[in-house]
Amino acid sequence: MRTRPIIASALALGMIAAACASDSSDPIDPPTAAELPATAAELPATEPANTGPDTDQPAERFTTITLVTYDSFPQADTSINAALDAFTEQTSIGVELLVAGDTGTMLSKAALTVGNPEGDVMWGIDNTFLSRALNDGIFEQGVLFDPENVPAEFLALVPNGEALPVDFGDVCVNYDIGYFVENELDLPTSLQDLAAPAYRDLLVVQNPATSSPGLAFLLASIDEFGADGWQAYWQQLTDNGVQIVDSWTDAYYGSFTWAGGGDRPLVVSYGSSPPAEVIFADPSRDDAPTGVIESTCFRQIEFAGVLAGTDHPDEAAELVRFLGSEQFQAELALNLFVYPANSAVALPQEFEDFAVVPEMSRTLDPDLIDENRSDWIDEWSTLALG
Amino acid sequence: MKNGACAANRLPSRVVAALAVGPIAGLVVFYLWPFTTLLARAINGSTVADTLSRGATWDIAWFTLWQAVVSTAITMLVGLAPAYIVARFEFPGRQLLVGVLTAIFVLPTVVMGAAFLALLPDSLDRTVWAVIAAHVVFNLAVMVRIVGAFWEHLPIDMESAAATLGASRWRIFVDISLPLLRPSLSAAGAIIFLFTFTSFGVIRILGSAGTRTLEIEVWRRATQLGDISGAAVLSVLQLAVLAVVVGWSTRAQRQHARAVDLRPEQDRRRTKSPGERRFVTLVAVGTAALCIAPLAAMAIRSFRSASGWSTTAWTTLGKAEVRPGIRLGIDPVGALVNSIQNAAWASSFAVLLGAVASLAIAAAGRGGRLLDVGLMLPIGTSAVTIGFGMLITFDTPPFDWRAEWWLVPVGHALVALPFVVRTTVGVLRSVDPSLQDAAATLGASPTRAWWNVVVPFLWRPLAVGAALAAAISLGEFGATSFLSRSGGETLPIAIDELLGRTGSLLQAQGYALATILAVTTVSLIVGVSRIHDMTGLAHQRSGSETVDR
Amino acid sequence: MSHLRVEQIGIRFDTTDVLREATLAVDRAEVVALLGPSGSGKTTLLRVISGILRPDSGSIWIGANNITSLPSHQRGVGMVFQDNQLFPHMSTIDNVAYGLRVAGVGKAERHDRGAAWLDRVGLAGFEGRNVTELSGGEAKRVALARTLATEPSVVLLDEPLTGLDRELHDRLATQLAQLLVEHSITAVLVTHDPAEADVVASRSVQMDQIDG
Repeated sequence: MRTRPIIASALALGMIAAACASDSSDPIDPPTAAELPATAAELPATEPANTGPDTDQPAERFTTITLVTYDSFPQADTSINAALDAFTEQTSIGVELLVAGDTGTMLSKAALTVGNPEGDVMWGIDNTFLSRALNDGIFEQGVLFDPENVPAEFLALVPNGEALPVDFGDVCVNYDIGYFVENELDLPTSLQDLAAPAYRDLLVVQNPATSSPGLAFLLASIDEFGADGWQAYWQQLTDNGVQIVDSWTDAYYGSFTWAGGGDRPLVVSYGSSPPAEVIFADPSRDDAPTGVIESTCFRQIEFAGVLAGTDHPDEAAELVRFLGSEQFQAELALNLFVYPANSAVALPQEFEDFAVVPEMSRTLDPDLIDENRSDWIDEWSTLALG
Repeated sequence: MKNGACAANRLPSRVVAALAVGPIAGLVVFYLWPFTTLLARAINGSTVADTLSRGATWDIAWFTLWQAVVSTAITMLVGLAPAYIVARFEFPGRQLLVGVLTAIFVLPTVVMGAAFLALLPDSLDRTVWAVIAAHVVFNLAVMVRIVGAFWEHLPIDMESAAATLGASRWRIFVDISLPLLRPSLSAAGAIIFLFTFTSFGVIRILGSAGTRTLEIEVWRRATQLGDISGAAVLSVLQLAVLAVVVGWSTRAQRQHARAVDLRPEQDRRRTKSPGERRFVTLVAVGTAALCIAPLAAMAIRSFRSASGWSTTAWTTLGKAEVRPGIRLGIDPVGALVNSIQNAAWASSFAVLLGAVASLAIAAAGRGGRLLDVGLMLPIGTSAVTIGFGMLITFDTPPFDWRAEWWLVPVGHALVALPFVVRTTVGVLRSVDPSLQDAAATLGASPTRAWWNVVVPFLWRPLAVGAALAAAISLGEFGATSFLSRSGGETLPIAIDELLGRTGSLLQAQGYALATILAVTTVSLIVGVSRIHDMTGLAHQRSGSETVDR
Repeated sequence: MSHLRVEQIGIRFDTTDVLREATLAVDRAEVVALLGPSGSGKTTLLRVISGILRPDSGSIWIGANNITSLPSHQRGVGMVFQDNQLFPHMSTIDNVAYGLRVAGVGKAERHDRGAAWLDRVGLAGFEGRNVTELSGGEAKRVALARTLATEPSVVLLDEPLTGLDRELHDRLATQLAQLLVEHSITAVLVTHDPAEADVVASRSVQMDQIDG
């Protein structure tokens, strides 16, 4: 449904009225009956599980709502998209995906459009941005999500229940197993170790000003050494030859010994990078070539919520509840490389085998992050970039 | 007197005004309105004072300025030789060279930056010199296309005349070609400056971490810190500097545009002496090496796997399932189709608006200059501010266009428009006014004379402009990555996403897609220059009776 | 021995032989007119002599020197183009004195010599004029003065008087003939007008006579 008629020639200079007219299948249009799963189009009016007061309207009253996501959310074809189709089948609520950019961009856009949002539900605000999202009032107040099996410490981050914790992941220092074996080098076991002479010139990190894992790693160091102690730690890291680059891609594929042919066997990446290295390996392999230093992990928790000002508050709330359901949560690990927030959901085998869920992962109070983010980054820049 | 005669036979002002309506409306609706809406919402006195009193602001502005000036100067120096050989000589692989140069110019910086990084010696990695080197290679195409397009229409006999007066090739270049090329040089210089001044991806990948241009700082404030008002102030500062430079360049273009007797056909020839052949070969091979090296590095990476060489990235490219049950959610073929559709629309918009805008600019006086500068503004304005501006402007019916599919090609067209205009206006301005007078004396009304005499000069630069616009749209990543999108990823976005995820296969696929994008772009540019040359040949044939052999 | 000798020049464009063993000899101070219809290769031959085109075969001699592979600027062959090719960014005097400037003549001297040449072609006082504002006849005379000012050993004239009205044409033809004789200039004139050839040249040659 998303293919517009192919323009015969890229150089067709004349804009022919007919061509305009034939360009009718606007991707924003609600799907036509033929495009929907058969059951949705001719839905026998079964009562969905979480029925709000309005949902007993006739099933033909098909509504399409828009789920706003960050850019790494799969757009089509994956089991995540299949799960959303299943939701449509069950509820006759169509779900259109709208990609709004990286998390920061997505939030800034939402903040600019509070009250007249681009979509109805937002997926993917994490705890480093949560405070700003709540202060800007991007989420509808007083929606009931009935969270089940979500750890209390996640729920505590949203005391007023504006958003639902949907997944979590860790940003950790990854290491190239081969490098450490070959060089008979012991693994670092703490943040402090990374500043030790044994690991001189071995670590690459991202600039927290421009990279989300970079910021997470800075926050991990602030958690470890405190608001007054992290500066000294970073001075040691700098003296120890830490390399700083602007983006994850640059660090992982440019500087990391395993993936990029670079010269740094230690890189700030995700806790889920090792299983991804197995799943997306070429040629395929049975063991992860990289590992995670658990004590360096900072936890990122992502939230979904109803956007304030939506025209479809009930349908939107229903979708958020579905996003927290076991049916949907089961698809997260292999598609987004995050862990489901719903603890009743089992992890796929690859994750059981190669991913590490650190027993203790670091977090900081979202309010504290929001208050200090700008100052910390400025201070870090002066210190680490000179 | 020339001026009097020219004025008498000039296009009536109401026709000029009618021509200008389209481009002005486009500019106002899709640029000025969203941009000013954002400024009005975001800027207030205290944020202006805060931002301007911050020392970092001026450090960033200074760095942005000097690296742009140095990059532009070096690009122009280095670009003269390839512009010369492409304009003046017929040699095997000429079109391919232009195609490859253009591909380099339009490929997403995330891809080219990474490929470039692999090529640079370690000592240069992540220094400002790496940034400048990359800027030079990326922008060579601007010199070759804009200056070359002008050069090939300068009468070659004028250079021959100087030669028979005893001037060596170098003297001819300095005394004759360079002064006559000045309008195109200032046009190319302004565009290169624009691109290097607003550099984003190249600096992020090749510069040392924390190296910031105003464009990067605007993005960082607006998206990472949520400081929209600070971002808005900086984007106005950026625009102010650019407006000064572009305004100056437009003036320079007008001052130095002379009624050179531009020839409708290109004056190109084969090399005639071994020395000449050596020179052309040297420049062509050198330029090709500069461009092909990063492209080849990119293609090679698509065949690299953890254990050596592999074609898996290519063979799995179209397949939705990477492993049983695991799909990517990125459809490369769909992305290619989307990109081509966008490019076709963007190119149509840009050429249509660009053609009328060029005619209006060339025919009008002061107002034309204003429009000329106005059309350059969108590429000089931080992409994120335009994207956010559109978001809050087109949000209520009947202008609820926030997620309309055509907003993306319109955005691309805005970026491409100045290229169409610059390639066209230069040629139009240099059409000898006496031609119009001549037509008028033959009984043609001013409008008729203009239609018969001026308009035929349009097709060649427009064809070049259309290809450039399509290529720009194919590779466009900055401006429209801030527009929300539904369905259809474009190639550059799909590439960026593949390269942003863990897994050797995904990385190789990203480079495979980038290779496809490069090949598509090169084919497009080469295809157009084929058509271009074929029609050129037709002209030469029909005009051959005037050339006494 | 003739001053300028064109020996068996052959040149082809794509698959067409434009010149086949063209041969011509011009004595010192002789003015030869080349006559022939359009497309007979007259202009091509001038371009070969001036070095703008390289022949595929044959050779060009000036005196005892084979100049076939010398670049244009080292040949000492001046050429007046059919469409003048005045430099639009230079004033009239700068156009006329350009060859002297390239030859390293000082500013004052080249100005004087340029002005003298302007005077000789009847354009005294035109030094500061913008060349794009000259009339057709004035531009022709500036082009002629520009070429003669460098005192080339051979002057090539490619239909220098075409496109002028009859009266002006005849007047300029006479002036040109006088100038060439006065300064003992060796010249080749390309024209399709036998009457013009008679006035300007001392000898006329048909293209088909010299081109094998």
